[in-house]
Parts: sequence; structure tokens; C-alpha cells
Amino acid sequence: MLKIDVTESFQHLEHAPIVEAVIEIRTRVESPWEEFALRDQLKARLPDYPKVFSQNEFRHELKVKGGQPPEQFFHDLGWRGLRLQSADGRYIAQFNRDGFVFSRLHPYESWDQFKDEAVRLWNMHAELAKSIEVQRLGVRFINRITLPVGEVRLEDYLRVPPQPPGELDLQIISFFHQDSVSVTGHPYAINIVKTVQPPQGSGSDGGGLILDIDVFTTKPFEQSADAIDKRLAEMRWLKNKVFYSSLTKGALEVLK
Amino acid sequence: MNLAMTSAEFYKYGFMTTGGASDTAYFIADQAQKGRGHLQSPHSLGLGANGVLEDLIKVAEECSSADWDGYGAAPVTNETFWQAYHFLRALPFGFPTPSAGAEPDGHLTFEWHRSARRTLSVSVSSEGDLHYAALLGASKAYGTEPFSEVVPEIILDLINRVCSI
Repeated sequence: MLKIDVTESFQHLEHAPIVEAVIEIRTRVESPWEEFALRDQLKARLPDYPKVFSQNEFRHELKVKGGQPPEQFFHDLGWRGLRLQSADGRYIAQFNRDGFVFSRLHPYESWDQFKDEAVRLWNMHAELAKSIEVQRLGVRFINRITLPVGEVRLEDYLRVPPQPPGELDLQIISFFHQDSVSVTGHPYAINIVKTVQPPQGSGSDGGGLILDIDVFTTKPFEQSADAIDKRLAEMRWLKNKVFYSSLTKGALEVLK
Repeated sequence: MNLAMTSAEFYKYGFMTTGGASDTAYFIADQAQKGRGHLQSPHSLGLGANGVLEDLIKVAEECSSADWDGYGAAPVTNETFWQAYHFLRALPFGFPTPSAGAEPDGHLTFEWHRSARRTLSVSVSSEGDLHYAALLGASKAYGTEPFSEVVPEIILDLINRVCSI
């Protein structure tokens, strides 16, 4: 059984490459979930989130049949919830009928600040939705390390870089690597995605190395502040462990 | 390195991720979707082998009006269709695929049928409830599980038990 030590402290990175931190709590709304009533409630309670957008649920799927061109499905499933943004656009809260999603965009400040704000807004969702059980809880941190223009040695960044098939003179030009791992002795799993993103406009951006760490549990539990707090602390520890063990010492040094 | 692929652990979490709102989150979702679409294209791994996807679309269309059976059946709604569609897509690669049908209460159903005494039926509601009932020789199993993009472990286990030789 893996020992989770939530008291462990981690090296502070002044230039942490977090482009988005997310806490998602999936639940089932047990009260009527109506757009105008919800909008009124949230506007009154959250003046610090002045931008309010209605969110519809869309499904976009690609159906592929052998020998035929792919067929696209695009379907509007109707109103799903509201998306609220802080004045500076850095905090985004989604009050949906199937749960609550809270994001902090770059620059990330601190776990306590992020988590406390997520829990403050989640409590509103729980009260309005009258939900009683959490069906899925996720903590996801998306990191993007800007790569220099020109040739990049991935082994300078990743402890386990992608490798081309052996003994052939091949070069990696792109990759998308996803691992899903379970946490022995705990009800958690982790999706880890490593990939590269093309350059984003600026001349000094040679592309981004993405390290996306998504710690989650799908084991339902009765929602209470203590239960959520305990899990979030454990999931944060797991996220940090994966982050620090995925990058090389050299890469971490640059982020200090 | 060992891959714990034989363990039920492997299946129960599915491919669902925690949401996100940044451009990078959308980029990752798009790349993952492309990869998944690529993996689902061959008949060996995808849903095309027995035409269940086509059947599902056909059944949902045919039963989309009230009284589709002439006995006052409820219509199959778009919500029910998309819940069923995503349930199907959430089945692990290479898993046995079911046949599709509709019920008078407007639910869509999937059936894994091996014989009269080895069969599993999963009925999907518009709210994403999965009502399942299985016959496994002399034993029965039934219940309701929520569907939230991941096929519940108990249903995966029943599919395996019904379809194993």
C-alpha cells in the first residue's frame, strides 16, 4: 500500500509551468436546475464573478467506417449550466447539472488559495443542487513548459522521454503519451499525458511540452467538507509526486 | 515493467478526464479524441463489428415519437440516445458488443445474449441511470448504477461472465 504523506512539503517553483489547475466534483443535481433562477442566485452571491455565460452541452463525434470518409456527429443537448468568470478571467467556475468544475488559469498562485476558492464555490453548488453524494472527484494540473526554438532534446526535460523504435535512424517529431495508473491501497487513479503543442505565435516559443496530471476517484462518497478536504489533500500530494518524478533535475532547476 | 491489464482495475476508470477551460486543455482533449478515433476505426477494436452503432441510431430514430409501439410507449429522447451512445463508446476496446433495442418507457437497451440462461440486459435512461439484469445459469443479478462516462465495474464484470466461454 502506498503511503500518502500530506504533510510532505515540496520545492517551491517560482516559474511553475501550470497553465491550468482544475478541481472537478461530479454529482447529481437533486433540485430543479433552471437557468434564470440559477443566474439570479449566483449573480447575487458572486459579485466577484461578473461574467456569466450560459453553457449548452454539445457532443461532437467522429464515426469512422473502413473505406469511407469519416462522418461527423454534432449535436446540441441543450442547456447544461452556467459558466462564471472572475473580472480578470483567471478564475472560471462551471455550475453544471452534472457537477461543478473550477479552474484557475495562469498564473497559478498557491494550492491553499486555489482550493479554498474552489470549496467556497462548491458549497454554493451543493446548496443549490441539494446534492448528497460525490460521484467523481478530480484534481488536474496542466503544465506547459515552453521549449526553445530549434532542436530540442526531450531527455533534458522528461525522465522517461519517448523513444523511436531501436536501431533505426528515426527522429521523434510529435508524440502523445497517456498512462493511466491506479494507486495501490487507495481509491485513486491518475491519468498522465505527455505531449507537445505546436508553437503559440510568439517567435521565442518553440512549442510547449505538456505534462497533464489528472488525479481522480470514481468511488462515490457522501459529500461533506471533511471528506472532500481529506481527498483533495491526498490527491494534491499524488499530483506533486507525479510532477516532480516526471521531470529531470535540469528542467526543475530552470523552473525554480 | 508489468502491465496490470488482467486486473479489473484497468477497466473501471475508463477514459474520462477531469474537465478544463484553457486552450491547452482543449488541445489535449482534441489530441486524445483523435487517438481514440484512430483506435476505434478497425473492426477488431471498434464498435463496427456487429453494426451496433448503426442499430442504435436506427432504433432511436424509429422510436423517437410517442406511441411508437402502438401501445402508448414513451418516445426515446435525444438525451437518452446520447447517454446510450456514450455508454457504448465507453466500453473498453475489444469488449463484446451488444445488440440495441428500445423499451416502452423510452429507455434504450443493450443486450449481451449468449443463451436463454446467460444473458445481460442494460437499460439506459435519459438521466444516465443504468438498470441492469442478468441471468447466469441459476443465479440472477440486477440493480441500478449511475453512468458518468465510465462503465460501472459491476456491469463490465457481468459482460465478461455472460460472454466468457
